[in-house]
Formats: sequence, C-alpha cells, structure tokens
Amino acid sequence: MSQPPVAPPLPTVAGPGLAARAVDLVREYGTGSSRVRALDGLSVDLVERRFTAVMGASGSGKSTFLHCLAGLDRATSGQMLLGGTDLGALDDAALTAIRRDRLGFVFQDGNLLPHLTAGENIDLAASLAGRRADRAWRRELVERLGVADRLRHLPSQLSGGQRQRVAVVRALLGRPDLVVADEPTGALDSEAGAALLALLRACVDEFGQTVVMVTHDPSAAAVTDEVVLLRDGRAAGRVDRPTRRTVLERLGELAAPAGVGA
Amino acid sequence: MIVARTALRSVLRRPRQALLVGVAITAATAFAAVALLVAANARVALVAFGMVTPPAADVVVVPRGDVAQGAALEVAEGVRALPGVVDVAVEHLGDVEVEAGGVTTTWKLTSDPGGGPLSALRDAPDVGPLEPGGIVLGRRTAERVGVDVGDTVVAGGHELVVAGVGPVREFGQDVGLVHPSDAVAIGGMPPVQMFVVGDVDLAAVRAVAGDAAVTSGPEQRDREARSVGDTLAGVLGGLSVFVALAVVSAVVIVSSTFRIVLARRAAELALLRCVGATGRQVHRSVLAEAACVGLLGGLVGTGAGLGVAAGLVAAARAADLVSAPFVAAPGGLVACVALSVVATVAAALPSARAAGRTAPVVALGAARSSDARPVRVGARLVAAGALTLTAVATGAVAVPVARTDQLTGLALAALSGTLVFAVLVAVGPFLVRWAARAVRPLAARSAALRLAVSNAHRSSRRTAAMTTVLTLGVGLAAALLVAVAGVTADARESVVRTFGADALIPVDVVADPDALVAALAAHPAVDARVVGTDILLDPAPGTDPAALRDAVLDTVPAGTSVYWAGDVLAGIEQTVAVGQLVGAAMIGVTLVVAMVGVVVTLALSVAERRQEIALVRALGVSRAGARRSVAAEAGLASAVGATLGVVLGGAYGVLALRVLDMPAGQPPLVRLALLGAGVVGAAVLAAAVPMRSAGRVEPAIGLAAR
Ligand SMILES: Nc1ncnc2c1ncn2[C@@H]1O[C@H](COP(=O)(O)OP(=O)(O)OP(=O)(O)O)[C@@H](O)[C@H]1O
Ligand SMILES: [Mg+2]
Repeated sequence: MSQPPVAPPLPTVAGPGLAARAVDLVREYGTGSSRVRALDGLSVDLVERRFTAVMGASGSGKSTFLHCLAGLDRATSGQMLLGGTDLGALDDAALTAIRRDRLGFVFQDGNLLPHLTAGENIDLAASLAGRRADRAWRRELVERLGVADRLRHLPSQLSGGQRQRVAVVRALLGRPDLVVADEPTGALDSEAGAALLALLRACVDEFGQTVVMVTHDPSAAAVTDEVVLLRDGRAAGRVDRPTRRTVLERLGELAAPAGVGA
Repeated sequence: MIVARTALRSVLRRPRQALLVGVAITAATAFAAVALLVAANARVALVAFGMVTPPAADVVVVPRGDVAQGAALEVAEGVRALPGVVDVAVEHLGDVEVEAGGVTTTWKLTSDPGGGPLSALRDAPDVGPLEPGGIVLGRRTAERVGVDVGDTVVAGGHELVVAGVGPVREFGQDVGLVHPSDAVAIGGMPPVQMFVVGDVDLAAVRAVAGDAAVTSGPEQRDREARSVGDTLAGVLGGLSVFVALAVVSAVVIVSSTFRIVLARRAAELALLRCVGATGRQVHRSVLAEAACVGLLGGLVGTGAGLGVAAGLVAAARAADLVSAPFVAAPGGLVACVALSVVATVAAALPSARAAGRTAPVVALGAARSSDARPVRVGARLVAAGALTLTAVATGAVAVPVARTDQLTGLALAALSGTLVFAVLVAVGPFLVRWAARAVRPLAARSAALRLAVSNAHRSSRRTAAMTTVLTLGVGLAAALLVAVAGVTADARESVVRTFGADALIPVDVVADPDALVAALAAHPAVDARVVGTDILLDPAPGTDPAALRDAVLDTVPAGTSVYWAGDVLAGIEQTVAVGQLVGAAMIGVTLVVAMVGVVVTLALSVAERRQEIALVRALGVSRAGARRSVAAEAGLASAVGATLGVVLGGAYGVLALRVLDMPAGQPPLVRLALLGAGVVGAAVLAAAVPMRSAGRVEPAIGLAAR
C-alpha cells in the first residue's frame, strides 16, 4: 500500500495574520434554466487564531462557502486561498492531503462511518494516512467531550449528541490548523451545545487553531470573536466581538428590506 | 490495511446484503464446481467404458461390417494356426431375450473365454470357472432378477446354469458372460472382435484375416485411451462454455448490484474522502469488499456444488454408471473459489472506479442518486452499431464458410452471438427506456403501474442488467428449441431417405438372399423385395407394422441382422431428447442466475426506495398497489428480455442449423411462445419476496427524516 502524499506546511501568506481568504468566489449548481448561484462573488478574510461565525438566511450560501473553504468542493470561479495555497489550483491528491492533514470538520449530523466503532471513526484520518494518533491528546479530547466509555460502540448505538461529539474528537485529533463546523450544535441540547462551544473556544485560546463555524443561533455566535454575514451568496458585513443582541440586530437589518444595502 | 479492514467490516456488518450481492456469483460458482466434479468423476467411468482391450492382447482383429458367424470363426481358426500364437479369443456380443426367475427381459450378453489372460474374470479367481453351459452374471443383474449361483436361466432357448456372480461391467443394464461356444449356439450374438495373445507377425495375421482390420494390442489400447481423452476434452469443453455463460451472467448481475449498493452508500464513501482518503484508497476499499463478497460467495457456492456433485455421483453409482470412489478434486475446487473472487472483483471494477471519483461533498447530502447519472449515449450507440454490423457480417459468412469447414462456421456463428450479447450490454439501458416509453400509455390508468414504468425508466441501468441476462438465458433456450426441432426433422427425413421401407436386411449378411426373399414374400403380412444391396421389407397392404415385425422374426434365421426404420428413428430421437435435456439443464443454470438477478435487483431497489414507497403509500397508494408496482417492474423487465431472447435465440438457432446444413423447417412457434410466457411468469413469481417487502413499507416512515 503506497503512502498517500503528505501535505506541505501552509505558508501564511493569505495576508498578514490571515488563515484563509476568499476572492470573488462563485459557485454555481446545475445548468441551463435550473442554474443556481449559491456563491455570487463572495470575498471574505478569515483571521488566524480566531473563532469566526458565519451567519445568514437559509440558502444564503453558508454551507457552500464552508465546503469550498474545506476543500470539499471546488468553486466555479474566483480564488479560495488557504494560507498561501489556491485550493482551486491543486489536484485531487494534494487537496486530499490538505484535508487529511490540515483541516478538521464537524457537520450537522455527525457523519460517522456506520460500520466502524466510535474509536475507529476517531482514528480514521490517522489510519488512512498510515500514522498513529497522538495517544495522550486523544485521551484528553475523549475525556473532555465525555465519550471515553463509548469508544467501542457503533454509531447506531450512540445518541445524536454523542455522535456529534465523536465527530468533534475526530476533527480535532490531528491538531488541524483550521477547524470548520457547519451547525455543529444543531442536534445538541443546550448543555452539550455549550460544552462543544467551549471546546471550540479552547481550540483557539489554548491551542492556537483557527475555527470557522456556521450557525443560526445568536447565543452560539456570541461565543465567537467575529461574525461574517452572508446574503444571496455575497458578503454582507461583519460583527466584531458579537453579543447576542448585536447579532440579532444585524440579522434583522439583513432580512428586512430586500435588495437594499447589497 | 485500514482499507481492507473497512471493507471486511462493511461485509461482516451486513452479511445479508453481501450474500444478496454475491448470490448470482454463488450460483455460477456452484455450477462450475458441479461441472468440474462431474467431469472428474465421469473420467473414471469413461475409462472403464472405453478401455476394453485386455492388457494381455497382443493383436486385435476387428471384422469389417456384418460378417457371417462362420466366416469369423474360420478367421479365428486360421489365426490360431499361425506360428507364435498362444491364445485367441473371439468376442461375441448381442442383445438376447433371457428368462430368469420367471421373467423374460433383454440382456446384453458377451462371450468370454472363461479363463486365461483374455478373460474378464482373470482378476476374480473366486468367480467361475465359466464353462460351456454356464453363465456369469453381473452383481446388480443377479440382485435385480433374484438368481444366484446354481440357478438356471434360459437364454435364446438355451438353458444356462449360473456359474458365478462377479466383475462384469454393467452400466445399468442386465448383463451376463457366456462361453463362446454357447454364444454361437444362442445366436443373435455376432462376433465383434478377436483378441490374440502371442509373439505373432501382424502381416501374417492380416494375410489370414481377409478384409478385417488388424491392429497391435498396444496401438489399439493407445487409440482407446486417445478416444477417451477426446471424449473427455469434448465434455469439459462443452461444460466450460456453459460455465462461462453462467459466470458472465453473474458478472453482469453482480456488477449491477454493486452499483446499487454503492449508490446507497455514496455518502459513506464520500465521508472517507472528507477525512482524507485518496480516491485510490476508496477505489481499493470497494475492490477489497468485492473480493470479500466473492470469497464468501465462492465458498458457499463451491460447498453447495460439492454437495450436489456428491449427490449426482451417488445417484450414478446407484444406477451402476460409476463404481470408483468419489473424486473430490481439491485443486479444482480452490480454482472455483478463485474464479468467484476474480469474477466478483471484475464485476465491481466499474463501480469501484466511480466510487474513487466520488466528490467529498456527497457525504454532506449534496449529491443525488448515482444511478440517474447520464450514460454517454452517443459513444455507446456508435460502439453498438459497429458491433451489430460486425455480428451480422460474421453470422452471414458463417454459412458459406461452414460448407468447407463446419467447425469454423460454428465458431463464427458463436462469435456473432457473443457480439450481439455485447451489443445488448451496451444498449440495454436505452432498450429499457424505449420499452418503458412504449408501454407508458398502457399504464396511464393505474398509479402502481405508472410508478413501475417510471422506475424502470429512471433506473434503466439496473433494469437493463436484469433484462440482458434474461435475454441471454431465454436466447440460449430458444436456440436450443429451434435446433432440436430442426435436428429431429432432419433425422426423420434422412431415415426415410436411407431406408425407403419399414425395415431392411443387407443382402451380404444372408447366405441365400433369393430364398429368404421368397420365404418372406410368401408370408401374407410381408411385402419383400430386393433393391440394390438390401432386402426391403414393408407391411403388406392392410396389415400393420407390428404384424410385419412378428412375421419377419418368425421367418428369418436366428442371428440375422434386421434393421428397423422405427427403431433407428426412436434411437435418434432418444439421443436428441437426452441432448435436449442436458442442454436444458446447462442453460437452466443461466436462467437461474437471471432469475436470481431479478430477485436481487428488485429487493435492493425496494430497500433503496422505501422512503419513496412510503411517501406514495401516504399519498394514497394501497398496499396491494405497492406490491403490484414491483410485480409490474419484474414483468416489464422480463417481457423485454423474453421477447429479445426468443427473437434473437430463434434466429441463432436457425443460423446454427444452416451452418450444420440442416433444413430449418417450421420453427416450434408454440414452444417458443410458451418459453417466453413461462419466463415472464417465473420472473413475476420470483418477485414475490421483494413484493412482500414493498407491501410491508409503512406510510409513516415516508414522513420521517433520513
Ligand atoms: N447540490 C446542489 N445542487 C443544486 N443547488 C444547490 C446544491 N447545494 C446547494 N444548492 C443551492 O445553493 C444555495 C445555497 O445553499 P447552501 O446550502 O449553501 O445554503 P445555506 O446558507 O447553508 O442554507 P441553510 O442555512 O439552510 O443550511 C441554495 O439556494 C441551494 O438551493
Ligand atoms: Mg447549510
């Protein structure tokens, strides 16, 4: 079995202190009359070692942006820079290596492989790369998220919240530079949601990682350092040091007069 | 490592699905194992049947044609007088009416010198001795008729005392060995060959033997061994053609089921890509999974095949066709398992390639069903057109080529058929779509039927997989029916042509033909005349053939060969019937694989569409309606397959007859129609299980989230 290629370290030249930058990003789905522009010239800077929330109405292109950011999907045009690398210019193998070594994902419904146990799911990325995971770090993550006694269970034997936390352990285990999360608290009760947010916060504060999270929840956004707002596939402003109130206000403004301020 | 482990895990977690995916290859592997074991065991029987020259014989003399009893015995005396000759044994062989235990049946009697190196009893010192007036019976024969040593039987009017029960090859018939002198006395046992022991000059024997064929013992045994080898190679070759057909069918089915299963698991594979698996790793994991499925299917299939073959050989032993112990051929069985693994991996190649290209976002629910992926219509149609032209051209030249070389002609016809099958594989999805579009107006009034038709249309690839394999099975069966009808008609015609009468006696086997004709003609039931070298016999006007037979048997001297047109025709028809049965059994396997394909495809597609079925149930389609839609899908797929199969198979049956230079005659239309209808019926019946599970889907789950 040949070793998959290892991703080169990312030079931080997306800009001074920038983890990632989108420039005029366009993503179209479908062809002809059924064509949809999910991203319509989005330009956004994501600051390094920060916890950034992405917000906007349903269908505004948040998930699409996150997919492009995480190298899961390719933009139709424009640039998606991660560090100094243009993801659009990479071939599949290089993109795969970046996903595996530099990025962690958490999605709404956990996304675990059903026939592997929780523990095996956690180790999946390391096994695919032919490496061993950092044991101490794994133990700490597992304990902090309270899934230590569930590692031998199959996903189908876990609750939705437990599955979600296992997915978080998987995302953080490789100490990725960038962690992206799409509505990670959507399936969790408020207590588990708070624990998860605290852990993502710690990723930034304690471990110096960059976290980008899509959420609809103003309280969750209040935990972050900055909110990036999207509307119709374009950037629609930012909120620095957000609070529940300021976020609600800006979202209200965004929704109210259609077509104004674009 | 992780790739193999994930694959193995995925098979072990869903063993039922793995079996379902692999069941077609399991059936094909079982067939391969049975074929292999039957051939291995038949080998022993063929050797026993075909190696008849005793090791001690130095020279073998075979009279040419029908030789009068006396002439043969004269030759034997002449040879015996030659310098160096130690022993001569004349073998007489014939079917004789024997009365034993109060019942008269026809036995196959052979003469035996009773002792010495040329005797069949040479290795059985406890049996015999066989002297004039005695008979040695085969073991089963003695059991069947209930006689033992010392009892008396009556053969052709001669009383014989059972001198022993022993090692006589029986092959399921009543047999006995008699002394040569009794064979002459009994009559109806013409001399068929003579064995000579001694250091004797072949030329000297030839000088005495007249026009009889003289061969040295070693050469004769060599010839027999070669003939056995040829037969065996023929059997193996024929079997492997049918095994290959079954395996190809299984590959088509497994390929389709893999595509269905992987489409369902696209999100999982994409997730692997998300967390950093390369496309190659995903590709390999699918192939590894296929290998696991193939191994599982191969083991189950080979095991089942071993069981069936053991049963068949046991049955053959009960019928005295084999006596040797069961040959298990372990190396061959391992090869069967390997065949299953290789075939399954090959079948999974296209879906593995597609899986390797899965986009990671599919894991996040962003992608749609992969079966709906458009097929490259243009390229396929061009390829199919080229293949069709080649197939037609190959078929067209097969007939003229066969006039000079029949084997090449047949090979060309077979090649043409193979090309047509390749065309079907390529354009199957389009055919299914056209068919679905054609029947759509008929389905307008029933929601269930509309659902079935739109499904067949939407998932045209999987429907096409069912259809293609059914076409292959039905096509082979149709070709067989047409060929059998043609061969039977041809046999009837040629018997009528060569006989020109109900019975004939060759002039040169009777001492005084004119006297015999006069004697026969004197009988009121017989119309006898000499035409060329034969005495032709017909029933006199107003008498029936049975009366003719009695009259002739009463009149001709015992031991005279009389050939009956009816007997010859019955013999040919029996051979054809046996051939048809064997052919049907071989083709049956392909049809079974096709039916398995129907069940598996429908079962998987019902499982995949539970959500959708639940939704239409919630919207008011009845339970029976849901079941009906599955039955309609099976019906549509099999109707397309049966129609194509009957038409194409019929055409190739006619082509085969033309290649063999036989008149095609009237095609067996009724049988062909029955075949088509039977296959559609069987497919709908086979759909019973998926129908049940479709009917069981509760409307509520249609509204629940994934
Ligand atoms: N695979 C796809 N094919 C076609 N259109 C798509 C696809 N994925 C997304 N879209 C469209 O792109 C637009 C943006 O979708 P996206 O999922 O990014 O929205 P979102 O902001 O994440 O919404 P939500 O808050 O509901 O998750 C929507 O109009 C959506 O319908
Ligand atoms: Mg979204």
